[in-house]
Amino acid sequence: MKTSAEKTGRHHRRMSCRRVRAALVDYLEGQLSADEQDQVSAHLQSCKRCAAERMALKKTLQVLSCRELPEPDERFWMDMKQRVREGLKEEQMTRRQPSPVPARTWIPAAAVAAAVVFLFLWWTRLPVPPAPVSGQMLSRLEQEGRQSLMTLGQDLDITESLPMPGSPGDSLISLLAAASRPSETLEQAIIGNRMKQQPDLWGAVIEEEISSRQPVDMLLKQLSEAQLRTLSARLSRLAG
Amino acid sequence: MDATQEQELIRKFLEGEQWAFDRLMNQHQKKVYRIALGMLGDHDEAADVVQEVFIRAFRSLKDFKFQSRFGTWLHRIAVNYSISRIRRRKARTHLSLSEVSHRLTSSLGRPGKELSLKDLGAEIEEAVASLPPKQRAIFVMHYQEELPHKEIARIMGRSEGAIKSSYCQAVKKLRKRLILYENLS
Repeated sequence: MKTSAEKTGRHHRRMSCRRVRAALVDYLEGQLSADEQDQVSAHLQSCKRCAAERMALKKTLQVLSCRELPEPDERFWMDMKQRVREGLKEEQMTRRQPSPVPARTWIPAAAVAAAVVFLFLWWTRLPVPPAPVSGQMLSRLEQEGRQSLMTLGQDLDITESLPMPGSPGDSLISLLAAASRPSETLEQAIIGNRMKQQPDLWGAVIEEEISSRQPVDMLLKQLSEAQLRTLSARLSRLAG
Repeated sequence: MDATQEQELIRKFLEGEQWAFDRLMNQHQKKVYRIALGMLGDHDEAADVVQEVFIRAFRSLKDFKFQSRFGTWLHRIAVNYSISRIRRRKARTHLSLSEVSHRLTSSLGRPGKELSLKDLGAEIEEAVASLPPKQRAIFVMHYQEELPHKEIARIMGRSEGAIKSSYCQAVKKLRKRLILYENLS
């Protein structure tokens, strides 16, 4: 029987084994174009090693088809709807409770948050050697930072992006603490908020969160005395 | 259901129509569950993911801009959520050396012990669980859920070529783990 390429009179450039092997999964799934499918078929007829590779891959896919995943019954899906309804109700109830941060503090707090982002960006790009830290200053900074982050988190509605216990502010702190690039996570959050592009925001934040490295508290502890003083002054000015 | 019908359904949900909630759940919950189950390999965890995904999706629905289909958006949330769980689970689980050695031995097959279909089920689970989270997501969505590479690319925010390549790598990795079982199926 003639292949489609033969029928159309086209001549194939012979495919290399490397190209054939790279295309084998698509070939087995019938995802290649008719022309490519023919080229691979022609190669497989003349190359025993690639033909063996094809057979092995086919067997693997057959083996994988033995994977059994349970199918829950209808009762499960009914219960699931109820769980989701209750979850939504609980959230609504939580949202009706008064915010621990008065609404009028939003603007200065957002400005503080922006400063924090700025500083994150600044210090994550500079190799800062560990330095002695004033405990009092650090605790003041953490308190102020926590407060502004909490406001930011509530405003952005990302505080409950992850099922973490504790207050919204704590969740955001934990989320940022787990982020590999907290500065960028916050930056994304701020940009997302400004542009009102909320839907996928928390997906992006989770993306950041999932590869955890340097906690925020550790970052704070890495600041030199002078950096802490600068940050503290800046925060006080903005918050004041 | 086409995009217009879907938008209408979402609008009805936002107006508080209960039937719209039911229809949106009916339409998507099974797929979300299967993606989560395929990635996590655990029914209870998959059920938690379904619950969280829908709560978060419904909560944010008022801000949904219809730049993608609702299903694509849900699947993205489900994948991100499952990946997040896998990573957190990984951080919690520190295998002892003896456990690692035991797993290695079992994955290579013990001499004198016949391979059975029962072993195969467990081995497939371990093999899938050994894939890096994003690769696992791609494998599950394409092999198990038969989503086209193009749709997976939209869900994962990557190019179609990258998805294809990652899928091929996943299959090759699985092949190495399952090579002993090839004559069993």
